[in-house]
Amino acid sequence: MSSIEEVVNLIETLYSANPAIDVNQIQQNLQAIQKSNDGIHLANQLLTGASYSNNVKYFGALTLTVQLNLNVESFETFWRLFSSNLVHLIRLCGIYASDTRSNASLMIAIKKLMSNLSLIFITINETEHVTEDNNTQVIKQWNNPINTFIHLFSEYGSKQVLANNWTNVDDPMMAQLLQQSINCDVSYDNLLKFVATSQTFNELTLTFTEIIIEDLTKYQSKKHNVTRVHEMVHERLYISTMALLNINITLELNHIHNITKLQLSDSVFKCTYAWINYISMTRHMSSVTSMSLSEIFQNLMNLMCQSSDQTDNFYIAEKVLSIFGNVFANDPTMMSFDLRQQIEVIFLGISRTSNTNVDTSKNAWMLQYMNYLVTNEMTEELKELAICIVDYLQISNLDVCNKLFSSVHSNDYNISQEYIKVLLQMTNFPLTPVLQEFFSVRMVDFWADLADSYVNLPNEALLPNSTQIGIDIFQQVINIYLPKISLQNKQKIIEEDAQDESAIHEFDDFRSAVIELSQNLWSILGNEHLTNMLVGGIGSSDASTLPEDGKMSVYYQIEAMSFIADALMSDMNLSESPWILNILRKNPYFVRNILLLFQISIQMAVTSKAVSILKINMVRSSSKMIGTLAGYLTSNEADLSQCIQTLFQGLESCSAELSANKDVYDKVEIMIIKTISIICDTCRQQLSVQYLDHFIGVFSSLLQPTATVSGFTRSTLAKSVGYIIECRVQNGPEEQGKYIVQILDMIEDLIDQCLDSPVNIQHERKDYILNLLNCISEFGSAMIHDEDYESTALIQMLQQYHEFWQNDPFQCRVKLLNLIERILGSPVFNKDSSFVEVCCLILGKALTLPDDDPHFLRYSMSDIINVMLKYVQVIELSTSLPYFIYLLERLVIQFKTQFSVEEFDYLFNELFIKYYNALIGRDPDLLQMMINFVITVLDKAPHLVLNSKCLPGFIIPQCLKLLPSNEKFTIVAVTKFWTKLINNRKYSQADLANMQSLIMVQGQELVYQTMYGLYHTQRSDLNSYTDLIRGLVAKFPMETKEWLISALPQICDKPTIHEKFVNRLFVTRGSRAAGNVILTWWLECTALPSY
Amino acid sequence: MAVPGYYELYRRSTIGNSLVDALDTLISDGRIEASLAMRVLETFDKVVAETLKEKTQSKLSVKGNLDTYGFCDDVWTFIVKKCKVTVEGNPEEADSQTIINVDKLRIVACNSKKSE
Repeated sequence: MSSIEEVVNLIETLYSANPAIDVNQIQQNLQAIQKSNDGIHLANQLLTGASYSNNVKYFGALTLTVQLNLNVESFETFWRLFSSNLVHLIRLCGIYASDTRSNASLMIAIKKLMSNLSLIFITINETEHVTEDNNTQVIKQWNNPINTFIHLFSEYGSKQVLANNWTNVDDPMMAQLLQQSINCDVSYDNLLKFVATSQTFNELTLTFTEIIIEDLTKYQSKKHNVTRVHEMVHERLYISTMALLNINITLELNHIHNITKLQLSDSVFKCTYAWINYISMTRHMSSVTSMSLSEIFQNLMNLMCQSSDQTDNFYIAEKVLSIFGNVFANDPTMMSFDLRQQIEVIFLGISRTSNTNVDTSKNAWMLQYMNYLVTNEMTEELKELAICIVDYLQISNLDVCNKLFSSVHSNDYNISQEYIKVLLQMTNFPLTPVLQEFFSVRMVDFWADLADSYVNLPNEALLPNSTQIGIDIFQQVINIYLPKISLQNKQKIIEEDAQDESAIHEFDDFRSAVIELSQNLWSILGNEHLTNMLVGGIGSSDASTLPEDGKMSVYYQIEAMSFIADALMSDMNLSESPWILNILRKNPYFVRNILLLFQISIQMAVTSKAVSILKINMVRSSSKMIGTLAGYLTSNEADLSQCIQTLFQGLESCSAELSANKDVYDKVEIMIIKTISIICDTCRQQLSVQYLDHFIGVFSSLLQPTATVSGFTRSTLAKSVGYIIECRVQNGPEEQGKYIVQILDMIEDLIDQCLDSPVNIQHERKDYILNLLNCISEFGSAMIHDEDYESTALIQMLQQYHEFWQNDPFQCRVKLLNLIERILGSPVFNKDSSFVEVCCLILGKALTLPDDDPHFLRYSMSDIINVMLKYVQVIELSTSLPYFIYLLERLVIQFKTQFSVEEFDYLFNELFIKYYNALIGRDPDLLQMMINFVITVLDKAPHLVLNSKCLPGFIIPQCLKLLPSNEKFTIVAVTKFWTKLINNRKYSQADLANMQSLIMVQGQELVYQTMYGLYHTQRSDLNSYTDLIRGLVAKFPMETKEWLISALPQICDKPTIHEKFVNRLFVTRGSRAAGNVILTWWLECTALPSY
Repeated sequence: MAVPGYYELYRRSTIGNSLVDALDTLISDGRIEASLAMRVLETFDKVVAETLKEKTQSKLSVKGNLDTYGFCDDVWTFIVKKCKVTVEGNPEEADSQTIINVDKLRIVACNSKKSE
C-alpha cells in the first residue's frame, strides 16, 4: 500500500453501501496493515486527518484496538498506544462537544477509543509487578480513568497546551501532561464543576464509565480473573461514578441548569443499568469487596415518585421501574431489605411486616400511575409494571407462605390476611387478561409457587388452621381465574386484532399456565374443594333451559370449568375412582351439559376467524372431556349411548360440510374421531354387546367412496371397530372370526371394485385404495391385545382361538395375501412407496406377538419371504426398500431360530448385494438401513452373520471402505457395526473365536481406516468413533497398540502428538475420558481451537 | 442480572454441531480467525437460550419411572425409564399433541437465571 490516501479510499469503499470491489479482499488488505508494525502510525494518521470522514476515524480507533491486542510486548509500545488513545479521545470529544448535533456520528469513534482505554485500564491494573522495575516511567496502575478524562478534558483548549499539540502524540509537553493525568485526583467539587459545565461533558463522562464497566463485565464473564481490577474499581471508579450518578439522579444538575421540567438523559439510566449489572456480577465473587447501590436505589425511588403525567408523562417512572424490574428478576437481594420494604409499600400500599408507620401516600402515586396507564391504554407499560411487581412479590414468596401458614413467625395474622387480600385484588385486575392487563397472567406463577411452598412446609411447622387458610385462599384464586381464562376474553382479543397471532398464543399460554396452577392446587384443595366444585359448577343445573340472553356466557363458563376439570380428571382412572364417580352421579346435568357444549360448538357456523378459533377451542374442551369420562361411561350405559350418538352426529355434520372453511371442520373431525376411538378402547366391553352392529353399519357407510370423511377418520374408525370386535370373545373364535371377515370383506370388496373398474386409476382413487389398506392395517393393530389387559374369556378359550387362526377357516390370510399381491403386482401401485409400506405393515403385523397370541394376520415366514423376493424386482427400490428391510428385520427377530445361514446369505444377496453398486451404496439412508440390519442380526442371531459367506466377501470390505465416509449417518452406522462385531455379549465360544480370527486378519486395516476416518472427519462426528476405538483397545490391547503405532504416521506426520495419544488412550477408562483423549489428538493434529 | 454469559450446552445440539463444523471449516480454510469463531459461538449460546425462552410455543411433559436423580453445581440430572414424552405444540392445531414412548430419557436441567 503506497500512501495513506490509498488506505483512506479503501476504508471508504469498505464502508460504502455498495462497494464496487471485492469486500473480502479489501478486508484482508486492511487487516494486514492494521496488524503490521505501522498500525499505530496509521491509526494516528487516520484519527488526526481533519478532512477524513468519521468512518475513517472509527477505523483508526479500531486499528488501535488491533494493535492493543497484538503488539504490546514492550512498555514503550504500550505507552504509545495508551497515549494515542487518550489524546485522540480528548480531541475528538472536544470536537464533538463544540457541536454535538453536526458531530453526532463521531460518537462511534469516541466510544471505540473509550473501549480501548477500558482494555488498557484492565491490562495495567491486572498485570502483577512482582519485581521492582527500574524503569520509573512504567505505569503500574491506573487509578481512575474518569479522573484522567476530566483532568485532560479540562486542559483541552486551555492556554497551557496548544491546540495543535492534541494532534501530535509524540510531543514531549503532551507526554508530560499525559503522565501527570494518569493517576491524578479530582475532587468531588471539581467533578461537579466539570459535569455542570455542560450537559455534553456530563454525558461523555457517563458514557465513559458505562463503557468501562460494560467491558469489564464482558471480560469477567469470559472467566478471566481480574480481581485486582475489581478492587481498583471499588476504590476509585465506583466512588466517582456513584457521585456522578447521584448528582444526576437527585436532579442537582437540573437545578444548576435551571431545568424546571423533570427530565434526565438516557445516559444516566444506561450507566446505572450497566453498573447494576457489574455489581451484581462481582458481589457473588468472594474475593471482591461488595459495592453498595443503596443510595442510588433510594434516589431512584424518590425520583420515580416525583414523576407524574404533568411533569414528564411518567417517562422517568417507566425508566426507573425498568431498572427495578431488572433487579427483581435477576438479583433481588442486591437491594436491601429496608429498600424493598419501601418498594412494597409503594407497590401494594401495605407491608408484610408491620401495619404501623406505613406511609401509604406513596401507594397513591402507584395507583395514579396505574390509572394513567389504564386510561391511556398503555398496555405494554402496564405489562412491564405487572412483571416488575410480580417479580418483586416472588422474592418474598417463601416469607409470605411462612407467615400465612406456619407458626415459625409470631407475625400478626391479620397483616398477612390483609396482604393476601391485596394480592388477590391485584390478581383480579378488572380488565381483559393479555389484551389489557397482565397482572392476572403473571400472578399465576406467584400462586403456583406459594402453593408449592405451602405443600413443602413440614407438618410440625403448620398452624393448626393452616388447611382451612389454604383452602380459603386457593379457592378464591381458582374462582378468580375461571372467568379470566374464559373464551369470552379470547374472543375480545381476536376481535381487537385478528391478525395478532402472538396475543392469541399468549392467551393460550395463560390458559395452559392456569391448568398447571390448578394441578398444583389440587394437592391442597383435593377433589373435595376443587374437582367437586368444578363438577358441581358444570353439572348442578340444566344449561339447556337457560334463557337465550346470556346463554353463551354460561357456555363459556362451562367450557372454562371443563377445561380445568379435564386436566385434573385425565390423570385419574375414573372407573377406579369411586369418589369421582359418586360426584359425577350426584350432578345429573354434568354429562348432559358437556354434550350440550359440544353440540353448541358443532352448530356454530364459521362466519369469521374469531368463530372458527372459538369453535375449535370449544370442541376440543368438550370432546376431550367426553374422552376423559370414558372410564365413567363404562358404568353408565345411558350416558355412554348419549355420548356415542352425539359424537356421531358431530362427525356427520363435519362430513356434510363442504364450505370454504373445510379446514376448520377437518380439525373438528379429527378431534371427534379421536374421542370416539378413546371411548371404543375404554368401553369396548360395554359396546361389544349392543353397539357392535351399529358401529359396523356406520363404518360401512363411511367406508364408501362417496363419504366425505378424511382418511384418518376412516382408519381410526376401523381401529375403533377393531377394539370392540377384539373384546367379543365370549362366544368363541367363530363368532369373532365372522365379524373380522365381515370387516375385511367390506374393505376388500371396495378395493376390488376399484381395481376391477375399467376406468384408469386416478389420483383420488389411488388415495382411496391406500386409505382402505390403511384401514386393514389399523384394524389389525386393534386386534392385538394390550399387554396389561387380561380377558378371562379369552384365556379360557386361548387354545381354541389359537387353533382357529392357525387353520384360518375363513381364509382371511389367503384372501388378504392375494389382495396384497394384486397391489404389489400392479405397476400403478408398486412404484408408490406408500402402498409398499402399508402392505409390509399388514404382512408384519403379528410378527412382534408372542407365539401363543392368536391373530388373523399371523403370516408364516415363507409367505413373507416369498412376497419380498417376488416383488423386490418391481418395486421402486430407492423409496420402498426401507419397508422391505423393516419387514426382514422383524422376520429375523421373530424366526431367528428357524433361519439358516444359507437362507440369510440368499436373502442378503437378493435384497442387498444385488442392488448395492447401483443403488444402496450411493444412498446414505439405504446404506444406513442395510448396515443397521446387519447390526440387528448380529444382536439377535450373531451366528448368522459370523458364518455367512457375505461377511468376508461383502460386508467386511464394504464396512472398511465406509469408515472414512463423509456422511454422518454412514459413519454412525458403520462404527456401530464394527463395535458390535468386536464387542458382542451374545457370542457363543465359537462365535467369539470366529470374530477374533477375523479381526486378527483385518485389524491393521481396520485401525488405519478408523484413524484415517477420524482424522478427516468433522468435530461433531468424532464421538461416533470413540466406542469403536475403546472396543479395540479393550479386546485387542497389544495388537491395537501396534496397529496404531504403524497406522498413525501414515495419516499425519506428528510423532509427538501420536505418541502422547497412544500412551493416554491405553490408560484411559470410561467413554467420556476416551472421547476427550481422541478430541485432544484431533485438535492437536488439525490445529483447531477447543471451543 | 442482564446475564453476561450463557450455557454452552446447546453447542451439542444438531444445529450447534453443524455450526461448530462450519466454523472449523472456515478456520481450516483460513477465512476466519479462531477468536471470531469463539465470538460466533458465544452469540449462538445467547441467541439459542433467548429464542428458546421467548419464541417457543411448545410444551413438553414427561411421565415415567424416575430411575436416578442428582443435583450438582446447580444442575439437575434425571434419568427416567419407560417414559411417555408428550409434546404439545401450537394449541390451535387440532392434532397438536405428539406422544413419544422412550425406554430411557436423560434430562439435564440448568438454572435458566444463572449465567454460567
